[in-house]
Amino acid sequence: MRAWMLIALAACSPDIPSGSYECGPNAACPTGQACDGPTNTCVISSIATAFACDPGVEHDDNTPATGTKIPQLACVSNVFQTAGCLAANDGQDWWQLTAPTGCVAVEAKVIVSYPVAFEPLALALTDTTTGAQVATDTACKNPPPGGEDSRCITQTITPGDDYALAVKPLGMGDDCDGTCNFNRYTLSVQLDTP
Amino acid sequence: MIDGWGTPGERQPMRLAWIALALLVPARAFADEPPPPEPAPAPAEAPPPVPVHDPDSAADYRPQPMPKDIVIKVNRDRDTNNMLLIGGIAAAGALLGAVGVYYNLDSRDAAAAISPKMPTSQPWTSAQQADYDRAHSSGVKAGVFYGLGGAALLASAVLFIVTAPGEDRTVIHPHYAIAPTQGGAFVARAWSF
Repeated sequence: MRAWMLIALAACSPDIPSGSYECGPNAACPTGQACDGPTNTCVISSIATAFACDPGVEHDDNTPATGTKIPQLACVSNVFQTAGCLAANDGQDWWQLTAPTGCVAVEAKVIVSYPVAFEPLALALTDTTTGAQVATDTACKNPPPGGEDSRCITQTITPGDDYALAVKPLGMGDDCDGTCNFNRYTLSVQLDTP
Repeated sequence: MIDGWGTPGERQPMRLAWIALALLVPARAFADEPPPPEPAPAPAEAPPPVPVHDPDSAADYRPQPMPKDIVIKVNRDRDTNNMLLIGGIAAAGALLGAVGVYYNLDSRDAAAAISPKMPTSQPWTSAQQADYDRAHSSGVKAGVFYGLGGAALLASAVLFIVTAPGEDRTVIHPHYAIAPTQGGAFVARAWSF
């Protein structure tokens, strides 16, 4: 009984080992820990390193015309997945998509998923043939597990038209007051019959 | 030696002794009367003087003081106000301690909720931060209430000792007396207080 009382009354302080949690919104971590940029996990502050985009995923893609081309997809395609990164103060990444021809109808399913630790991202789909923005993102029906968030676009597109996908900061202010205005992301594109 | 167990030369003086004894004994000693009492043996030494009891003086029987007094201590009762005061402080201490236990357990639960045994693959959210803050604040409250409760219990214990009502003390001085009397002794015990 006495031992039980001692156990019950002890251990009032949280014991959170380094790496137990992924970083929360605004790079939130338990007291004494900090968000590790490369892994998005909460680690002991002394070993946390800063965020940096992988040089392999950074391109000159700040305009629709210079956006990174997505390989040509079929009318009904597999999921094309690629990684990207928005560095600090990088306003947008553009991806070029060409709708296949010869399809009765085509629906583009676009998902951008990103760690919640840093700046939230948004999507926009623009028909570069007409110059009109045809869709913006919504919340995904199946959000990713863990410390990630995602935004989705499901949009019928015109076969044969050229489109540009913009990945840009959501702009809602969740950027650690400007100190984490960057993020890495995974872009998934799939074409299907609506 | 009486039955002539001596030598024949010694029997003659023995007969003479018997004769002399017969002449010394009165004639009525031989009548049919109860035998005379045997003569008392000569005292070997003078007997101790028999104490003379003087009825007008009790000096011989006056109790003598014993070396050790009898002390009777009777604790006085606490008054009701004192008991209520000490009991109230002790009860307040117990209540504060119970509140401390509540916050202790609350702090423990909150700490356990956010203390993983392995990586969680979950982000650190405002909910976890709230649990973290609750664990800390409840732990602080528990410490404060434990301190207050302990201080109250300690104060009640000190008050209990300091305000002890004391005792009534009665000392009894016992006396005894032993006086020899004829055929025995007279023992008496007396107490004075």
